Parts: sequence; C-alpha cells; structure tokens
Amino acid sequence: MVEKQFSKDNWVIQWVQSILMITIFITIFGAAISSRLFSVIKFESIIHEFDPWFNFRATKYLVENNFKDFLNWFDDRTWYPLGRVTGGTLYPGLMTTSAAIWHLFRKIGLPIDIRNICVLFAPGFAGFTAWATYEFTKEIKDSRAGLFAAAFMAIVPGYISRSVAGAYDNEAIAITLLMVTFMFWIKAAKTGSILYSALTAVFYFYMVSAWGGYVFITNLIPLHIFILILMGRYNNRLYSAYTTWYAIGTLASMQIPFVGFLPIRSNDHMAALGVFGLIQIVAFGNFVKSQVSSNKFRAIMIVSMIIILSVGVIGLFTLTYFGFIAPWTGRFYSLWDTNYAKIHIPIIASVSEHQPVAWPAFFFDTHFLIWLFPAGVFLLFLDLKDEHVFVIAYAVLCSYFTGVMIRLMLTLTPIICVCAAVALSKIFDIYLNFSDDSIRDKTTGQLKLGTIATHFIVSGTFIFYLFLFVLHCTWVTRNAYSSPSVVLPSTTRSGEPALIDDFREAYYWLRMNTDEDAKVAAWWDYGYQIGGMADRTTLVDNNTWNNTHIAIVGKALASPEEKSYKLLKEHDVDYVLVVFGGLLGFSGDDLNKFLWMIRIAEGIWPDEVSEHSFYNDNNDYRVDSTASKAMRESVMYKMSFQGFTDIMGHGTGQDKVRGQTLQEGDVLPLDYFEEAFTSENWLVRLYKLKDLDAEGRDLHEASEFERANTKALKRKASKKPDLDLRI
Amino acid sequence: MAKKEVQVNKKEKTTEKAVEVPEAVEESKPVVSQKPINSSISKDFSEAWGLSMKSYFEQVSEDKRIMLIDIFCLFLVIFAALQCVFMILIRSTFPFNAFLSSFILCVGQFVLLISLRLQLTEPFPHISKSRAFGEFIFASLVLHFISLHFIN
Amino acid sequence: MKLSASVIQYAVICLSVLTYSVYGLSNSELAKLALESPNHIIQLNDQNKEQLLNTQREGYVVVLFTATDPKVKCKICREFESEYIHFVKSWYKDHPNGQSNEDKSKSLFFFEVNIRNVRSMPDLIKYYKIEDVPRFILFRPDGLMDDFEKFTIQTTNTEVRINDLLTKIKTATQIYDIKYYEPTDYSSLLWTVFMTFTVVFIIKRYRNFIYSVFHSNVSKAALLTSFIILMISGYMFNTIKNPRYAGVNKEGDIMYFIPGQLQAQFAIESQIVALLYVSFTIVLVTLVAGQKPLKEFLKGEKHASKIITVLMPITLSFAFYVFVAGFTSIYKVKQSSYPFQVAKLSSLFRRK
Repeated sequence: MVEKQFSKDNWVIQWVQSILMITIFITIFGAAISSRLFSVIKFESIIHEFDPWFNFRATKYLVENNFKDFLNWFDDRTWYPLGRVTGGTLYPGLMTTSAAIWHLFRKIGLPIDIRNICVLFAPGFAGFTAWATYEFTKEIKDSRAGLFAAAFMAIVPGYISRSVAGAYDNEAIAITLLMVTFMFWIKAAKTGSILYSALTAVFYFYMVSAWGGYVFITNLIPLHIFILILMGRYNNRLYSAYTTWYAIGTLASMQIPFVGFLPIRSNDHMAALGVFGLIQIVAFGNFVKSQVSSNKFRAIMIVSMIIILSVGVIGLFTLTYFGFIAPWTGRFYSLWDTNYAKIHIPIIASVSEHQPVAWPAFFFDTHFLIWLFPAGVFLLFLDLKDEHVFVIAYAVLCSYFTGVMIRLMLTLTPIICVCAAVALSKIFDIYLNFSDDSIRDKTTGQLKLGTIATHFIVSGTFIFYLFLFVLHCTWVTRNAYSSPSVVLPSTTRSGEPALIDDFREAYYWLRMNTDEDAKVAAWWDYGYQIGGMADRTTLVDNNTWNNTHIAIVGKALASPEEKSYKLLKEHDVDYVLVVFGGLLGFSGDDLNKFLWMIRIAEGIWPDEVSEHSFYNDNNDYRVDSTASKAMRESVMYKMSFQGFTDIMGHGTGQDKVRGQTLQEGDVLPLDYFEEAFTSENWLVRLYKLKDLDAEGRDLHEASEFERANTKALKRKASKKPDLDLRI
Repeated sequence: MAKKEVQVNKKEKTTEKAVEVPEAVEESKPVVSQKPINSSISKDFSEAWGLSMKSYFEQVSEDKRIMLIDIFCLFLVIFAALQCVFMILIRSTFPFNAFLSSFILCVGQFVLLISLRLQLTEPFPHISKSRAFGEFIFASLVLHFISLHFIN
Repeated sequence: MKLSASVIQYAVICLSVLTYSVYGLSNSELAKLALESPNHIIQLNDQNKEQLLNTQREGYVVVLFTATDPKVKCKICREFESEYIHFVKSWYKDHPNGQSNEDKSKSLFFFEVNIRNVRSMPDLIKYYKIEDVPRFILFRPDGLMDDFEKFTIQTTNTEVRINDLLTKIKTATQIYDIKYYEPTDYSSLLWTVFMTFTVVFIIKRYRNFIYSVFHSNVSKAALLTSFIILMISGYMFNTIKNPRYAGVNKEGDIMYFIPGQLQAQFAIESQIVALLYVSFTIVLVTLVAGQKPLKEFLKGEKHASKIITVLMPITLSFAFYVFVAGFTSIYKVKQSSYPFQVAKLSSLFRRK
C-alpha cells in the first residue's frame, strides 16, 4: 500500500539518486586526477624516473612513424653493440593507447604535445580505475560498498605511487585494465553471459599488451574456477564464462610479439590450460550426473578424476623435462623460493622494488584500509558466494606476493580497497541505519534513544577515521610520491625550497657537447634516461634482458683502471657516467649500489671480481682511509671521489651519504680517464676515456710523467669545469 | 598412494553433507581389496553410459537446433583432430601460428557452441535464449577476427 | 676434576710441543697432538705458532682462520664451525692417525685460528695478511712457516661449502680418500615421531570435533585471515632478511622498534603489529556480525538487548579507538615526521 502511494515519489527519488551518483563520480574523478597533479604543481610537467623515459621515447617513435615500423623497431642506440629488438621485446599497450589519444585529440582539433599526453596519462586512467573498482565492488556487495571502494581507489597512496602525473609507466594503465578485466570476469562468472566473458577476454588481451603482470590474471581466474569446483559449486554458468574467456583470451594474447607462443609453452600459463581441460570433464560429468544416481556417479567420478589428474601432472612434468614447455620464469620462481633470486639472479634481487616489505609500508600506502582489510576478508567468508571466493583468493595470494616483493603492493591495493569498503559499508549498514525498524521499539513504537546515540558514536568514529584517511593520503602523496626523481627537491641554507637539477644538466651537456655517436657507459639505472634525455648510445639500460652485458659494466666499474680501460675500449665506450651523492647527501648514488654491481659481475667472473675484497679488514664496506685495496683501485671509487678532497679547501672531504671522511692521499689519480664534466652539485660526473698516447707510451707511464713535470706548478684552483663554456 | 587420494577426494565430495561422513569413511575400507571395486565400477560405468546415451538421444530428437549444434561440434572435433594428424604426418609445425590459430579456433568455437547449447537447454537466470544467441554471435565474431589476424 | 684434567691436558700439549720444536714434528706426534685436542682440531695461536708451523713436518696442514665469537658478527663463521668439526671428525674416522689410506706417505692435519677479540688480533692474522674470515691456509709437508697457499671457499650453503672445501683440499694435497659424513640428528627424528604420534592420536580421539571445525566456514575464515595478517605485518621480511629480534639503543635500553626506518624492522615488530591487526579484525567482525551470536549467548538475560545494541558497540568502538591510537603512535616511532597521530601514546614505548 505504502509502496503504491509513493510510486510517483520513487521516480523522483531515483532521479535524485542518479544525479547524486553522477555528482559523486565526477567528484571521485576530480579527486583522483587532482591528487596526482602534485608533482606537476611542485615541479613541472616532466616525465619521471627511469622506465617512463623509455616509454616516452618509444611513444615518440610511434607517433613519428607508423604502427608497423614501431612493431619492427630495432634500436641500435641501446645495448651497444648488441642492440635491442625493441618492437618485439616491449609491451606496446601503453604507447599505442597514448598515441591513439594523441591522434584522437588531433582529429577533433586539439593538437596537444605528446609529452603532455604522456605526463597526464596516468591520472586520467586512475579515474577509470575508480569506476571499474566501483563496478567490481557492486558485484561483490552493493553499490554503497562500491562507492566507498571507488573513493578509496581514487586517492589511496599505494596506487598513486605508480600513477602520479609523469609516471608514464606500464603500471599506469595496467591497474586500470586489471580492474576492468576482473570486473567483467565477476559479471561473467555470476551470470554466465558469453558477452561479458568475451569482454573479459578482450580486456585481458589489452592487459597482456600492456604489462607483464598479466600472468596474475592468467592464474587467478583458473584458480577461482578450480576452488569453486573443489567446493562442489560447479554450474553451467561457470563453464560458459571460463571456456569462452580462455579460448578467446589465449588466442588473443598470442598476438603480442613479446608474448608469442608463451601461453602454450610456459609453465606460468599451464594452470589455465589444466583448468580448461578439467572444466570440460566436470561439465561432462555434470551431465552424466543428472542422468544417473549419485552413488554410482561418485565412484565413476573419483576413478576418472584420479586418472586424469595423474595423467595431467605426469604429462606436464615430461613435457617440461623434454623442453617442450618452458619452466617457470625466474621472476616468478623467486616469488616462491625467496632465496632463489639472491643466489641465481642477483639482477632481480638488486632492484629495491623486489625487496620484502616491512610492516610500515602497508600502513604508509593504505592507512586505515589495512586495518579493515582482514576484517573485510573475514566478513566475506561468512556469506561465501561464488564471487567472494574470487576476492578471497585474490587477497590471500596477493598479500603473500606483496610480502615478498614490495612492487606488488600495487596489485594488492585494489583488493585492499574492495575488502575495506565491504567491511566499512557493512558497519555503516548497521550503524548508519536510522530507519524506523532499527531505532523504534517494535511493540511500543517509541524512539530508542540509547540505540540512536550508539549509532552516532560508532558511525561518527568511523567517519573520523575516513577524514584522517583523506588527510593521510594527501600528505603521503604530496611528500613521498610526487618527486620526479629527475629533479630533486631540497632547501637552501636560508630554508627556501630549491630544486637540484643535476641530472638534466649533465644529460644536456652530453647532448650538446659530445659526438652524436658517442657511447656512454653507466650503470643500467640511468640507461633509459641517457637514451631519452641525452640521446646517446648506452651499453646497458633498465630493460635488463642481458645479464652478461650488465655484468660487463659492473666489472668495468669494479676493476682497476688499466683492466677497465681495456674492457671499455673493447666496447667502443667514449664516456663513463657515475652518479655521486657524497657532496649532496643523495643516498641513491652509485657507490651505494656498487656492491650489487660487484655481485652481478662476480656471478659471471668469480675469479676476477670478488665481493670479499671490497670489504676492509674489519669486514666493513668503507670509502675512507680504511677502504680495502680493491675498493681504492676500482674505477668507481676513483671516479666518484676524484678531486673530492680538494673542494673543501683543507685537504679532507666529508662524504655525507656514508658519513666518512676522506684524507688527501686516499684517492689515487686517474691515468686512463679524464674528467669531462661534473654537474653543479657533483651528482653526475662524466669521464672521457683518454686516447692512446701519441708517443706510444702506456697511459699510466704517460700520466706519471705528466705529474712529475707539473708537480712544481700549482694545482688548478678548482677541478670543476667552467660551466659558462658550454653555452 | 592412490588409496589415500581416494579418501581425500571422498571427503571433499561430501563437504556439504556432514551426515554422510561415517558412510564415506566406511566405504573407503573395502578399497583395500581392489578387484570387487573395479568390477563394480565398470558395471556402474556401463550402466551410467547407457542411461546417459539414452537420455541424450531423447533430448536431441526433441529439439532440432540442438542436433544441429551437436553435429557442428562433432565436425569441429574431427577437423581439429585432422589438423593434428596432418601436423604429425608432415612432421613439421612450420607455420606454427597458422596451425595454432585454426586449432584454437576449433576449440574456441566448440566451447562457445557448448555454452550456447547449455543455455538453450537450461537458460541461465536473467539471460533469455535470444540474448544468449546474440552473445554467441558476438563472441564468435571476436574469435574469428583474432584468428584471421593470427593466420596472417 | 674437569679443571685439573684440562690443566694436565694443556701441560701435556705444551710439553710435547716444546719437545717437537727441537726435533721437528713427525706424523705420529702430530696425530697424537690432534687426538688430544678437542674435536681433533689443533688450536693455533701466537704462542705455539713457531713450534707447530716453523718446523719440519711430514704431513699437510690445513689451517682455518675464523671468528665464531658472536661479537664479531661473522654469521658464516658460526655456521661453518660445526661443519668444520664434522669434516675433521669424518677424516679421523677413516684415518685414525691422520694418514691417507691410499697413499701412506701422505697425511693431513687440521688446525684452527679463532679470533676471539677483534681489538687484539693474533699476530698470525697480520703475518698471513688475512683480510676476511673464514679463510684457509694450506701448509705443505717439509715446508716452513712461509711456504703456504691461501684459499677461500664459497659460502652459499652447507652443501656448497663442504663440496668446495673437499675439492680444494683434494686438488691441493692429491689425497683423494677424503669423505664427509653427514652428522645424523636423532633428536629431530625422535621429535618428529613423537609429534606425528601425538597428532594422529588427537585426531583419532576428537575426530568429530575436528571434522566440524575443519568444515566450518568460520575456522577457514580465521585461518586465511590470520595468514593475511601474518603477511601484512612483515612476516616475509623476517623470513627473508632475518633481522634481529629486538635492538639496544645507545643508552643500553631495549628498543622494540627501529626508529625512523620504514624499510626495516625488528622481528618483534611483526608480532606486535600482527597482534594489533588481530584486535582490529576481532573488533570489526564483532561490530558487524556479533549481534546474533551474542543474542543467543545472552538469552534470558534481563538487559540483553541493551548490552547488544548499546554497550557492545560503544565498548568496541572505544577499543578500536585505543588500538588506532596505539598503532599510529607506533608508526610515529617509525616515521618521526608523521603528523596524523591520533593520541600521543608513543611515550609509553620510548623509555626514558
């Protein structure tokens, strides 16, 4: 009766609801984008860090040439002298998307610089991620939880960390695609609709084209199905959803050159294939089951299951053994055996992103969501629907992976948001419920004042935490995740903010003052930046596809000069670039990474480079007078500290990063290299390889002779080159 | 080893019905003597096979569309098998992508057909038969498009 | 008793050493010396180095330079010590007088130099320019103090270390019948047997109860949730990086948290934080789903509905607030610039 009365009002309420909804979404979009613009406001519209520089360079190539050229791009300006088949070894999704956006804008008469599209790419897609999270959570609980999840997703620092303006990286688009794929998958699994399933496959394909982390989807969806089958929850909807996704998704994923035939060859993908086979059998069994009595069916089922499973497992092992299927990739394997990477692939272990996570990082990245996260999982368990199984499997798996590798925090963040939103909206469902049923006595109809007060207190505290969450997110984003790491923030002595722009200064110098074909040897971290900003050929870069080549650079930097010179000459190197933070106190410099360089080189040449010899007698890694002999003779040490004791004027130099003091005689002179350029704060130092001596002498002898001659003369007042010269 | 697995599987099967537990445990005991179980299984199996074949033919004769789908499925299976045999006979996988794409196309079309068939016999909630057919067409188109692209 | 025995033993060693120094060391004398020493490893120090090394010997001598004292912080040394002892034991098991069975002319003895105090290094370390430990020096027969060969071994894990030591000694001495017998640990075997027995017994006894627990959603939920809590409280960090359990600050007080470090932690931090997470979860779950069970539990109670709808939520939200305050103040220790502390509880954790 009451419903009929309000049917007209209902219509109004629906309208108001949808308008509210749209407003909320616009706000979420706005929040998502604006919180990511801190870096542009604080610094400038610039591409960040290392990998984005390569992506940017590739995008420029794509915009300048056509798509076909891009896929066949052979880059001879990196990995000298090997070169890199760039088109076949990258995930093209990101570049293609931004190029498409660029073309689109140009078509509608808005020509925007490709750099700006690249810079603003991640914030834009963050908005879509929030929307996908909303849809996802709506399927898990309801639209109230969905809105919470979307709002969390929009501003949670764990996701912002990889998607601020300028972070033009694969992850920027991959998380969006991850959530969209999962959203369609949940819809498909719930309804059994072939359409949703096909869309899952299409977005899965997009994801494959954008990020190597697609393997996570490849394994999570089969796992979901597998658990459901084990729980005895198979139904025909699951069949149509899974098989459609697998057939289309597998075929589609093989279109990406970098992936190629992996989906049928590598063990990472075999679980999906196995579940595909399994679900066929289960579907058939289900059909038989509907025809015969359950007791008989059980006997048949068990026998056939065992036979099939054992045949499958044995088959997998034989195929792997004979090499038809590639075993698990190193990165994947290092997730299970946590010591694997340290022993077998130091290059993976050396990256700080691959380190295990200490607990503060979780709080830092998600604030109060991490408190709600376990409770959310628990509450989902209490009414365990099919789609909840997916969320739980995701949460459990991903929390383990994140514990092992900090970079996977990014994939854990969405599910934290979803679970926390579920928990929070369940609390608000109860304690923000001021309808008559809950606050009026059923028999007398009186208001229950105690209950009302309780509801106010409980929901009030949680709204307070929400408020704190927003403050926390803004604070973290502003302070931690908005630095481009190309330009470093600092303060002057008088306390005014200042920027340290040494990297760009040095790259610009390289670009302007060196031969266009000059080869620059630097540790791989700076490879993409040198390629992107200085446009010079590098030996190694952040695409660490060839361990040996990286070890060569490591060896060259760790060896004594003569050996290093020979090695570098063999590779046609003209300049060596080292990053030195001792003067400024920049802790991410090469000397701090030096041990990894040594380890990687030692992995290939254990006889020539030994980590042990770089520790002094007390087993310490020192750079001052107590440094070991190998340390002091190494090119890295000499290049970093060359002239360092002179600048302070009193013959000693204070290394601010390592907190050690160098004496005048500690740093031996360089014989085979000469200083070409040192940036303003000494952050980047460039050395040129000397040419062979004109008189045919050994370079060491020649320099000795020179030094003997000039001893009487005064040393140059400053070793720093005159900056004005290069204009 | 196998015996243990039997027990484990049984327990999993009876997850929902805790009442059946003692029964399951008792049943696992005679497994020790292998022969009677084997013979009873084969008997059960043939019986079940006969029953399902019978009901299947009934179902097919009722609805001509389902028969059509089944014939198409059978054709796809034969076609995929033929391709495999051909590949083994010529002992080379040279245009591997062409082989793969047509093979997966067969498999994909097969599972799509089965999905459609499942929906025609027992429609899923909220999805009508005609919508199911439309979705089927859409997915098939996507599949064929990718497959064509892969063949080159 | 023990003291006097060791004194006598020491005296015997000293005496014999003195005697040998005059005449040089024959194999039987070295063997006797080895058998008298603990673990058959002859401890080398500055006092006896001349007598033991700078004389004519008939056998090969392997010297291990190590530092097992916990203050030196050489983890590998400590791990390797027991392996070295077993290695030497294995040798003397096959060759009671240190003589090779294949080639009777060759024999092998094991010495050790253990650095106990970093401040006063033995002269031997300087003499042989030992830059890192563990390190080996091999002395050939008939050579004097300066006729030696230094070598190191790979230190990845037990197996690698032993194999490397075996091959290096074999190639250097040409003695091929050296074997390493794995030490058998009976205690762990007994323990496993005992535990298996107990577990089987318990399962058998309480089968129905365990079955119902196993099949209830709540227990599974609790299991998986605790797993997640374990993971997000930095458990993997502890297993991979093996940090210290707790630390000591400059004043000598115990520290439970590494201050100012977001990327490092003590092992105990995980436990504290996990405890907080568990409390959060219990409070939240009770807030959301606790009303029904509580109603059942309080059936017949006079103020049941008041307790459920008023007392329980208010208490729990207060408890939640306390935990939040605790958590943020702990976090403040880890990141001192953190501005959003709920309540200043950190003074409780920082002892004056």
